[in-house]
Amino acid sequence: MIFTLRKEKEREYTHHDAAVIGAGPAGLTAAIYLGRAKIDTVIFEKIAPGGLIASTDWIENYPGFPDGTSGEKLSELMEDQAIRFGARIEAIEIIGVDLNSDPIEIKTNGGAYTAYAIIIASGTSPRRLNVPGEEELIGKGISFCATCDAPFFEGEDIIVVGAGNSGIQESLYLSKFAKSIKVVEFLDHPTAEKILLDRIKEFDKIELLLYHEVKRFLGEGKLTGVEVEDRESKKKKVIDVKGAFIYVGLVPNTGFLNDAVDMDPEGFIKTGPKLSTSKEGAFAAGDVRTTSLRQVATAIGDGALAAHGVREYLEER
Amino acid sequence: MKILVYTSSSCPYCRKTKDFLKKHGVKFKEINISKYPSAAKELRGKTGQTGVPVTLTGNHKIVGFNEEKLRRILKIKRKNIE
Repeated sequence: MIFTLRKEKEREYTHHDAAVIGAGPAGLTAAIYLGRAKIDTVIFEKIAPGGLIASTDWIENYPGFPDGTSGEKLSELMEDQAIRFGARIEAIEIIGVDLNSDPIEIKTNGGAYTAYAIIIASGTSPRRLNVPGEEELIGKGISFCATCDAPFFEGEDIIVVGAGNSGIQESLYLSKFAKSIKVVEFLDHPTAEKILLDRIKEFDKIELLLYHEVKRFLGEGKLTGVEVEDRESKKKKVIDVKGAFIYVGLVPNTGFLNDAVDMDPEGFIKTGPKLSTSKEGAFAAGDVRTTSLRQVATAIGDGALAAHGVREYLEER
Repeated sequence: MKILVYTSSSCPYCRKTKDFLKKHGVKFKEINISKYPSAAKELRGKTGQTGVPVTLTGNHKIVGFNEEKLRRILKIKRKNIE
């Protein structure tokens, strides 16, 4: 009897007019706009509100903060604003969605939900290098989050892999802790903004190592070094370090979709002018969609646009 | 059983771990390595870990947010629908 009741309970669906997957800047902005339009909305967030910005040291290119702001603070403000307009954030993970059903069915690790429309704002995760030693040494010298783990490397020699905006910005933050930082870049030039590159010139402890490829991480139980190859001379050398922070790009968080919507070759979701996807009622916003720039400012615009698309879609239904 | 949770200020998985424990009424002591950098050295020396969150209780070490391990070790039962 208890078993039967439990099975019945499991079959219950909780319905909302709209569901937002991901509570980063795009998802929270969508929630603000949907909340103000009085559209019954639920937001699903598998980790914590804020997305990648919650663990970003400092953000200087988001308007309204002339002196910059910490990513943590900005994400808290966005969350508070979304909650003020009635956002209901569920701390659960999406397991799968059925975009062919009407309403759309959303399976989570906390029960089943339905919604007439969804906004996929599930963001991205740091890309791994996929070289020997990386997997085994994550958390034992290798990290993807400088603001989380920097205190472990007080007074140590470390490397940062990737000289894009994230790599350089986080190198500046890590310089408060580390004794020396080598920034290893695969290309023959750094791709970070000029203002950031000018800033690292002020730090003797930060050194750029261009046109080098990380071949493997060394160490048994703890990181002791990194083998890199000079891409021009093909000569290899080992850099002795206790820490490595990896910023080599992002991969979209779309596994739960099971290829249900059209994606580009890298797995980012293709969208139309109103951020609709290839499936009716499904929209995508923020870093998870195909776009030429992934910033807080672009995610905010996406969130607003996708919410507007959902509103129009629901009105026409 | 004393439960120590090592965290840092802007670590999303730390927040997730703390929220999970609070939701299930589990009392714990938080040690924030951003506020107390010496705790990072202590944790690294004790466990070899260079990342947070790390939850320590008895002889157990739970690295990252690992719901299944937290439930098993701390005996947190799963309700029908959470």
